[in-house]
Amino acid sequence: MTDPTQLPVTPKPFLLDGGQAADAVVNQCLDLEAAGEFDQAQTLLRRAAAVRPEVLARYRQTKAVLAGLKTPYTPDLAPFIMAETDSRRPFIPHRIRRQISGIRVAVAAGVLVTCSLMALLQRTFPEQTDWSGRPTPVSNVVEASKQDFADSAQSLASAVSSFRSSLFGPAGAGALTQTGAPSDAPIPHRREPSHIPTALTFGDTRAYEGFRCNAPPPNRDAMLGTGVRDDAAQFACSFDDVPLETVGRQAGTLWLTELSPAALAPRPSLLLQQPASASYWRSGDVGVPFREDGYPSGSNSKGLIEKQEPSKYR
Amino acid sequence: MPKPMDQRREQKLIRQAAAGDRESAGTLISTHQSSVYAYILRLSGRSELAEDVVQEAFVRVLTNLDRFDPRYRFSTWLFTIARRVFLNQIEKRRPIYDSDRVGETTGRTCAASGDWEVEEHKGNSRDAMQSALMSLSPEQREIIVLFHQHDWPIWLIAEHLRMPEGTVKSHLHRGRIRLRETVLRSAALAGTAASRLEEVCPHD
Repeated sequence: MTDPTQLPVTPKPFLLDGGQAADAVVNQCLDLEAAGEFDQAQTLLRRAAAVRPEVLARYRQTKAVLAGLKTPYTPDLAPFIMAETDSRRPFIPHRIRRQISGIRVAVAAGVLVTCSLMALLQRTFPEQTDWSGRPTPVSNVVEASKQDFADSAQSLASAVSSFRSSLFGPAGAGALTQTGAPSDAPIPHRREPSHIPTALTFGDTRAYEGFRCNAPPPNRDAMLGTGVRDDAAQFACSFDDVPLETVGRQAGTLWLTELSPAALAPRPSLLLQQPASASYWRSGDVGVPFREDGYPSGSNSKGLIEKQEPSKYR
Repeated sequence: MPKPMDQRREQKLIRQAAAGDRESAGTLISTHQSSVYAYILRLSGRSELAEDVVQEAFVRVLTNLDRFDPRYRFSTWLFTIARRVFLNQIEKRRPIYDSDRVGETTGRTCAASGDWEVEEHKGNSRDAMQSALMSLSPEQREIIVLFHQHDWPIWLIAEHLRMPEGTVKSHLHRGRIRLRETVLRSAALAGTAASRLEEVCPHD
């Protein structure tokens, strides 16, 4: 016999009235039976019934009522459910499902066999099966397009360059000749045109800053304010030092051809140079008149070099 | 009610049904439709509603079998979906319900009304338990049904209804006593039922 002290008596029946205490015991017994503790349930029931006889009656009544919770009559709903399910997500016949499975297996096996064969071929004939370095037709087309584009761009660039050269060639480029100069006077020469850049460039601008002249100045006094050194067989006149543009078309005059933007420069420069063509003068040509004896035609540097109106030379 | 099948066979049936096998789907339906129908019928007390709910629940389950988590019991999943469908149906039918009932009673002919009453009387006598169940609160009714009709453990009911186990037990205990008292009261009113109950469980 089970020890009564070990029985679960959670409802504490002594705290309840008669009916409530009996129902608490009934509930506890039913819970124990549902948990599979049939022995404990019976023991508890006997103990409680010894104290409160109505417990047993309530227990049996409750059991009988709950037993009435039998499964009710169930109509066969399967046909409707199957039809409705088939309309939403069609069933697949067993034969087709087997075929689908077979197709899947065949595809997987084919892929596996192909990969194995490729691996075997690559291992057996590594050179013949090396496709990595060979160009594909698509890469050929891409390369050809790139080459065509490069050729087109190059030809266009050369055309533009030649056009710019024809437009922006340096002023005064050409052969130097002496016109009406004294016979014994040295013929100045200028840099060969080929040495002059064909287009303006940024950066080094020394090529445009002056011309060299091998004509020695007659003397220093006569060239007052020219800034030419006595020993300067050749000298360079910087761009900013060329002061004025002067016309000197008379005989015995050497002419300088160069742009002269610095009209307000403090001192004139002795630039003995003659333009390539003496028939006309271009804007910006600078000339220093000389007498026939080779001396400058004036002692005053300010009067020696005069500004030339550009309109006269066009 | 068919015996519950073992889990391995059930998993196999589910896989086959998910792949489109008609026979497996039919087996699943025949295995579980009685319990789901009884569950919904006990909750609602209306057979036509229970049929609709069971059909819709099964269709939803069978068209979404690929979402089933095999770690859980199929019946639990099915009951959860059926309960959700039932609550949705109740929500939808609530405003229409009374007017339908009124229309039905007022629009019937005498002969048809007689047939309807006969059918209802048959239904009531066939399952007098249902009226007693309907006197319970919805929580008590559902817990009583799941515990005593479907033998669900307390923890599973608590999980299914998303309430603490202590609350489930409290509803269960009160529901038992109230159900018994209601049935006894009804039996006292109906002599035949009372005598039948007396035969089943005589007083000491």
